[in-house]
Amino acid sequence: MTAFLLKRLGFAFITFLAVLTIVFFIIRILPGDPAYAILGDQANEQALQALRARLGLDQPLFVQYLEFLRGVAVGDWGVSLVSGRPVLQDILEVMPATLELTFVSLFLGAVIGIPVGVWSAVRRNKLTDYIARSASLLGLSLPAFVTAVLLLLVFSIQLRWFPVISSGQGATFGERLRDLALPAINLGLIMAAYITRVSRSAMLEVLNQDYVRTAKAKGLSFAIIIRRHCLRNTMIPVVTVVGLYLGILIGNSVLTEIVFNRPGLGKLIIGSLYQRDYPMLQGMMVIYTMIVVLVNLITDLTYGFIDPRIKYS
Amino acid sequence: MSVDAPARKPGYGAYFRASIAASLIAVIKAFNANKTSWVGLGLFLAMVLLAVLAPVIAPYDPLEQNILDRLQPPSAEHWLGTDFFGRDTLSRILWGARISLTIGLASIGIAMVVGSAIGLFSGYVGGRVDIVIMQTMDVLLAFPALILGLIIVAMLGPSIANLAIAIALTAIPPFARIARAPTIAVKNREFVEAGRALGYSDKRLMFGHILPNIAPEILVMGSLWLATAIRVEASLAFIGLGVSPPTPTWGGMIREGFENILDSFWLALFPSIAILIVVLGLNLLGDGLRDAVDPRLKGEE
Amino acid sequence: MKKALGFFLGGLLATGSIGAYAQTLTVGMNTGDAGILDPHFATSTSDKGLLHWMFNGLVRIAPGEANPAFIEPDIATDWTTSDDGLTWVFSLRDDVQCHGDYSNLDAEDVVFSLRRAANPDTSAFAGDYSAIDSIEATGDYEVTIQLSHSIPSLLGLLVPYHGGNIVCQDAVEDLGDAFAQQPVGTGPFMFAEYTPQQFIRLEANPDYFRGAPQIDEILYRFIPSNSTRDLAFQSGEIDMLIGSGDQTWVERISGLPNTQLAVMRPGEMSVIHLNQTMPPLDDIRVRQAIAHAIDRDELVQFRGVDVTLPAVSPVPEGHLGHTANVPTYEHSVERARELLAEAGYPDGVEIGSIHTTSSGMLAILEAVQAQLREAGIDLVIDAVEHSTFHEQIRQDLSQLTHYLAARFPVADVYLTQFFHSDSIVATPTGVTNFSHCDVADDAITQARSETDPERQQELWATAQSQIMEEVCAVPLFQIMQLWAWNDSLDLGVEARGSLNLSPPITELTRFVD
Repeated sequence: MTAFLLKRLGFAFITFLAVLTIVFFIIRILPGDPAYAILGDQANEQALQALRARLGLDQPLFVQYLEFLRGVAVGDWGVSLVSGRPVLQDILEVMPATLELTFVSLFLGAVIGIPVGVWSAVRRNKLTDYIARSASLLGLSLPAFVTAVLLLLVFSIQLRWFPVISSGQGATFGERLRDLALPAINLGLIMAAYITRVSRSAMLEVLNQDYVRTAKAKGLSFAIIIRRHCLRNTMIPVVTVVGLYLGILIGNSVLTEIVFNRPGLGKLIIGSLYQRDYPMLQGMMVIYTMIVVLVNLITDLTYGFIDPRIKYS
Repeated sequence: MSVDAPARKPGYGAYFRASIAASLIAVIKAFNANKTSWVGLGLFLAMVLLAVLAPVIAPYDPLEQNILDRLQPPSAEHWLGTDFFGRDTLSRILWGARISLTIGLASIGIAMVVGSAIGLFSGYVGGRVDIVIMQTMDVLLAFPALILGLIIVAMLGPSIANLAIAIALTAIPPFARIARAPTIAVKNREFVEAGRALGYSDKRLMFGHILPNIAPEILVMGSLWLATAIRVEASLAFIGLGVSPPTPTWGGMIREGFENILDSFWLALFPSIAILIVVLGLNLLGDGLRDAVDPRLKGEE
Repeated sequence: MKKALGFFLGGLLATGSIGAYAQTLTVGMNTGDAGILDPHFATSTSDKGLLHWMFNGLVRIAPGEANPAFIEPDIATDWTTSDDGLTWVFSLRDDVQCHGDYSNLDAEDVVFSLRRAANPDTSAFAGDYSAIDSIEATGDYEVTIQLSHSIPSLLGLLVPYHGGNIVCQDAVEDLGDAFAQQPVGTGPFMFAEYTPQQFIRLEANPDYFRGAPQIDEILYRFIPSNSTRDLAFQSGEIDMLIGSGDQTWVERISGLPNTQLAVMRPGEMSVIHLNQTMPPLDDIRVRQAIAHAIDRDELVQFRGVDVTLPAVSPVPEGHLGHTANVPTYEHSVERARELLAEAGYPDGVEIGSIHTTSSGMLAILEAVQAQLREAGIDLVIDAVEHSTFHEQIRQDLSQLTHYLAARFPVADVYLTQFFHSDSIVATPTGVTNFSHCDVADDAITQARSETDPERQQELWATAQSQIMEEVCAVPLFQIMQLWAWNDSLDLGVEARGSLNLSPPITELTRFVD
C-alpha cells in the first residue's frame, strides 16, 4: 500500500511538472498581452513597451519560465498584474466557494443519479425507465447557463425563495445553504443526468453476470440480490466516471458561477485569461492540476474501499 | 464507418480491411438486437437530412436582417420568431444544424479515432508505456473541458475547424480510457491467446480481433459524446468563443438568445430544443447499442 | 416528508435578506471583479466609476454634468492665469481631510499627487501631463503650475478624472503597493472592505469638507451577467445598476415599478475606421462606397433611439470643438455600387475585419455587415477574444476596425488619438489611429496650442471636415451611459452626465420614503 502510494505520488509529481510546463508556454504564446489591460487603450506604444519591460515580460521566455518554477517551488506565486493583489491570496479566498459548490452538487448528483439509474436498469424498458432516461437527457442537452436563468426566474423572481445573487459567504449555516441552493441544484442536476446514465448501464451489466443469475436460481429475493450483489459492483464504473466528469463539472461551474454571481475559481481563471494576467493564470493552473491529480489518486483509493479484492501493486 | 486506424501502412491493408468489416458486422448485430437504436438513428438522420436540405426548406435567408421586425415572438410568418437582428429563427436553426452537426461529428470523429487508437495501443502494450500514456491522458484531463477549449480557440483563432479541434482534444482522454479497459480484458481472452499461439502478429491481433470486439463500445461512447460536443460549442460561445458572425450555429444562437433571455426567452429555447432532439436521437442510438453489446465483453479491470 | 421540507424552507426564509439596512446603497456593476484601485492607474469603467465617489480634484465638473463648461471649484477655491496662459496659481481650501487617520490635505500633497500623475512609473496617464513644466507649492495652501506651451484645457486635466484625482502623500507613502487595493482620497466616501469577485464596500466620510454624506455606505457589487444583474434589481437585492446598453433593456427596466432611468453623457462613440494602406481601402471611392452603404438611421433604430445619438463627425457631439458641419454621405446602395464599379470592383469587394467577440460591440458590426452586404461589400468578420483583438488591431492587421470609446470631452483628445499621424498603430508613438489618417495633422497640432478659442474652434472644425472628406472613418453613433435606480433614491442632482461614467453619488444622495 505504501509502495503503491509512493509510486502514484511520484507519477503525480511528473504529471504535475509536465502540466505546468505545457501551461506556461501555451499561456505565453497566446496572442494578447496584459499591458493593454493595465494601461488601458489610451496609452501609446512606448508606454506599453516600458510597462512590459518593468514587468519583466521582455525577458527571454526561458528565463521567465525558470523564474516561474522557482516561484512555485518556494511558494512565491507573485502578484496579479491586473489588481496587484497576491495571487495565492486571491485563489485561496475564492477556493472554498468552489469546493463547496463542487462537492455539494456532486453529492446531490450521486444521491439522485445512482438510485434513479439503478431503478431504471431494474425496470429496464418499462415506463419508469423511459421517464428516467428522458429526464436525464434534458439535463444533458440544456446548457448550464440556460437552466441557471430558468431556476432564477422561478425560484428567485416568482417564488422569491432564494436570492438572485449567491454571495457564497453567508455568516451562518442557513445563509450559506440558502446561497448555495440554486447553484448546487443547477450543477447537481447536470451531474445527476450523467450519473443516472452511468449507473443504469453499469447496473444492467451487473444484472447479466453469472453470479446474479446464480443468485436468482437459488431463489434469493430480488431486493436482496440487488442490495447484496449488484450495488457494490455497480459502484466501480460510477466512481470512475464521476472522476472523469469532474473536469466537465468544473467547466460547467464556470457558467453557473457567472449566472448566479458566485465567487469561484472558474470566474477567476476566465477573468485572468481574458486579461492575460500571467501570474494569476499560472497560479490557477497549479491549483487545478493539484486538484485533479489528487482526485485521480482518491478515485484509485476508492476502488479499494468499494471492492477489497482490488490490491494495490 | 468511422472506426478507423490512425495510419495506413502497406502490408497491414488486409488486416485493416478485415478489421473494418468485422467491426461493421459487430455493430449491425448490435443494432438489430435492440430496435430503439434504429429509432435513434432515424431521428439523428432526420436532423442530418434537415441540415442538408436547409437551403431548400429554410423559409428565409438566415443572414437577412430586418431590424424593424426583430425579437418577434413565434407567428404564422416566422414559426419560431425572429432574433435580435430580425433574422428568422427557424431558418437559422436549419442552417445552424449544418455547422453544429459538422463541429460535433468532426470533433467526436477525431476524438474517437485518436482516443481509441491511443487506448488500444496503450492497453495492448501495457507496462511502463501504458502508465506514461495514461498519465499523459490525465494531464489532458486535468483541464476542465471548457477552459482547455477556451485556451485552444484563443490560440488558434475561432474557426469551425479550430473549434472542432478544441472540442476533440477535450474528448480524447475519455475515449482512450474507454478503449483501454476492454482491450486489457480482451487481450487475455482465449481467442487472442490462441491467436498469439498461432503466431499472429500484434497488429493483426489488435486490428483483426480486438478492435471488432470493442467497436460497439466505442461507438456507444461516441454517440453520447457527440451530444456533449454540441453542448460544449454552446458553452464556448457563451464565454465568447464561437464561429464568426453571421454564420449561424446552435451554440451561437443560444448565446445570442441568452443576451435577451429576459425579453425573448424563446431565442435560447428553440436551439436548445434542437440540441435536445439530436441528443435524444443519439442517446437512443447509444443506449440501444449498449444494451445489445455483450456485457461480458467488458471483464473486470 | 412534506412537513420536513416545509420546515426546511421556512428556516431558509427566516434567515431574512442579507445585510440590508436602509442606508446602504447597493450598486450592481457589470464586471467580474475589481481591478487596480489606484486612481492614477485605473483604466476600466468599473474601477473609474467607483473611484469617482472617493476622490476630489483641484477643480471638478459639477456633479451630474460631463461638459467642461461646468467646471467649478473643488479643492481649489479660485485660480488665476498669466496673460500668456502658461502660469496658473491655485488657492486651496484648508479644510480638506484625507480619509481615515491621514492628515489634512495641503499644497505639498497636491504637488505630490500631480507629479505622481505625470510620472510614467507611477501613472498610466503621464502622457496627458507632458505640457506641464513644473508644479510647485508656493504657500501652505497655494499651488503654482507652469506650462511649457499652451494646451487646450489645463483645467480639464485637474478634474477628478484619471491623473487629476488628488491622492494623499502620507497614505501613498505609507501603504506602498497596498495603496492600489485600499485607496485613500478626500471624497465623500472612503474605502472600507473588499471581497474578491463580490463587492467593495465604501463608508461615508464623516469629515468630508462639503458635509457628511446622508447615506451610510455603498456596496459596489460585481455582477458580470446582464440577466443576473437585471434580476437582482427586479428582486430588490440591488438599488442601482448599470444597463446593458440597448433599447430592449431600457424598455424592460422602465417597465418595472419605482424605477428611475438615466441616460448620461459622454457616450461611447462607435466608429468604423478604414485602413487606407490596405487595398482595396486605399482607393477613396471604396471608402466612400462604404460610407454610402451604411444606413446610420437604421443602426440607430437597431440600437435604440433612446440610447443613441447619431454621429456624423469624428468628434462626438457634446465634446468641446465638435462640429456637425462636415461632409456627409447619404445612405444610398446605388451610389455605393456605382463607386465600387468606378473603382474597378463591379462585382463587389471583400473586406476583412478583426473584431472582438464582446457581444455588445459585435452586434453593431453584425448589423453593419448586413448593410454592406446589400451593396456588394462582403465584410468578413474575424471574431477573436477581446485581448487578442486589442493586440491585433494595434499591430495594424485589420482592414476595417470597429472601435467603441469614450474620451475626455475635448475635441483634441479624440482627434489626436484616432486621427493624428503620430498615433498610427504599430509605430512607437502609436495609439489608436487605425486608419493611418494624416490629412488633418496640421489643423490638429495648431488647434492644440491656439489660445484664441474662436480660432481654435475653426481649426478643430477644419480637422473634422478633412477627416470626413478623406473618409478615414465612418462614425456611427454615440451609445449613452445607461443606469437605473430605485426611485426611493434621490441623488440630489440631475444625472445628465458623468465623466467617470458612474452616476453622481455625493454627500447629497439620500433615500426618501
